[in-house]
Amino acid sequence: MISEIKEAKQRKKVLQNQLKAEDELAHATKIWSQEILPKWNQMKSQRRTLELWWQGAPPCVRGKLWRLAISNDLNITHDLYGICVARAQERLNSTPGSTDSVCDSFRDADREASMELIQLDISRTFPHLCIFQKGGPYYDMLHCLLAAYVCYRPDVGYVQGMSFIAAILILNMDAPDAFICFANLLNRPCHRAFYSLDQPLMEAYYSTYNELLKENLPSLFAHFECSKLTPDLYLLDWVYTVFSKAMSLDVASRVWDVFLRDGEEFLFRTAIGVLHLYQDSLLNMDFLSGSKFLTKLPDDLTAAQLFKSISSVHTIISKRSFGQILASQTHPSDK
Amino acid sequence: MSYAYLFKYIIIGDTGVGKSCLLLQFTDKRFQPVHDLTIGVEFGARMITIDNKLIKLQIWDTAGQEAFRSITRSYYRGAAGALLVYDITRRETFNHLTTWLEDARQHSNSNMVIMLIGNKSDLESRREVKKEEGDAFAREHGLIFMETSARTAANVEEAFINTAKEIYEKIQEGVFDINNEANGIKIGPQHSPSNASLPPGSQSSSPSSGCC
Repeated sequence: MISEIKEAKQRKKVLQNQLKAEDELAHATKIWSQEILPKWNQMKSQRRTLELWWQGAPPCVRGKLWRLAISNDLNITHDLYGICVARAQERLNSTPGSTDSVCDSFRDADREASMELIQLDISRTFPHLCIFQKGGPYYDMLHCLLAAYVCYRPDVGYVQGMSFIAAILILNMDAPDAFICFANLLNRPCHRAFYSLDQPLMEAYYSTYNELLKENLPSLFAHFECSKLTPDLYLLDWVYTVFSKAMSLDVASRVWDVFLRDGEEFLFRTAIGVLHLYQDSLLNMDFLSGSKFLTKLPDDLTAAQLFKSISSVHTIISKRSFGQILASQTHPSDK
Repeated sequence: MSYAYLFKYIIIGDTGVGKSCLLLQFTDKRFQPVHDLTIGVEFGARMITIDNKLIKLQIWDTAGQEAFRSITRSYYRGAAGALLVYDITRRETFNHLTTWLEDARQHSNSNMVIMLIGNKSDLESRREVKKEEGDAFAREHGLIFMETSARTAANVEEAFINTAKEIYEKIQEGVFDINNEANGIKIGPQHSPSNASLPPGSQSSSPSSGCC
């Protein structure tokens, strides 16, 4: 009898919390869609906007917010996307070895940066969601977007990991906008360095990250140094996919929100946030357990835990900002 | 559980040949028809027994796309064994073996044991590479060879364990200097005859606590 009353109370409390969360979401949605997004340029840097942004965008405004935040410095139009898709389609249909292909630059591109590889990888992108597999609702869309990008940037081509970035965008907006965001994101310094595998620059990012790690979590930094667990082993995946492979879609979307608010620095802040959250366990792990743990994070990681942890991470060391530390790594003589 | 030796393995080969699936079948005894794409490197581990001795395998599973070669090259360092995998249903993955082998030989310890694996042997109807071709390639380059199926688990245990046996034999013959970690072999915590002969760092390398 008593336990029944307890259970009823518990249910009531859960229900109340749900209602409260729904109210907050509705309220936030209203502010975003009626006050902030229509006057984006005025509102984007206001304190209230930035605070609301940290709390995560309501799913229904996410696509629009992301588009505005990424913006379109490359001036890509929907027409250009159409042209790239058509070229890619032509290439797909042309028999190998024929000379009538429009996209001749492909010939010089890396052999593996090809349509076949994209096909192979699409079904290996979020396999558990079952929407990007052949016959799934988003298979063609993801395929078109990536193939169009290879046509748009034959010099970069297709690199494994891109399918995760494209997939996350496709889940939040239509294909032409997803393409525009995709191309612009990949043109930002950090992702450009990583996707073109510019090793000296990647090293600079790793060193910058290591400095931040040493400052924020000195004992874990020492433990990793000693067990030879270097950042490249787990950071590559996190940077390439902006955490969308390592975390659940809900949590990853929250990371994306603030990544698009704060820029590349937030990738590394999040990484240290993850380490901070699991520091006690990680300190007791050897190389193998630690690297296994970090390349496959626990499924029960929640956004609330993660963001609480991230908020304790600081990215300014002795008055030097992330950008300044990075610059000193890329030009060591300036140190 | 304390082990007598730890061997570092690296799995290499073209993308989509089944590297991660082989690892999952070996460590977890299950098959995932659609595996997540590997970006960079992933890790696996398992204990095996050879000659009544416990051996821990630390396995590095690498991304296969050519663009990542410059990164995965640095992972050969300190590997005692390599599994070089191709897909018997895709001829081009077999054609690329020479480049993989060159890469492996150039960036690894010269004693590294290389096992050539023709995977997806369950897909007989789609076979493009004959078993004899794999055999011939292995003989020509001095590799061990097996055809495996990560789906049915055929030969998967054998592939990983036979590689370890070969490494173990090399240790017995004195080919590997086991006190040099660059060879991809570590002596387990309880096994060493005298701790004084160990390089710094391996004395306290108990599997649970790692270092420091």
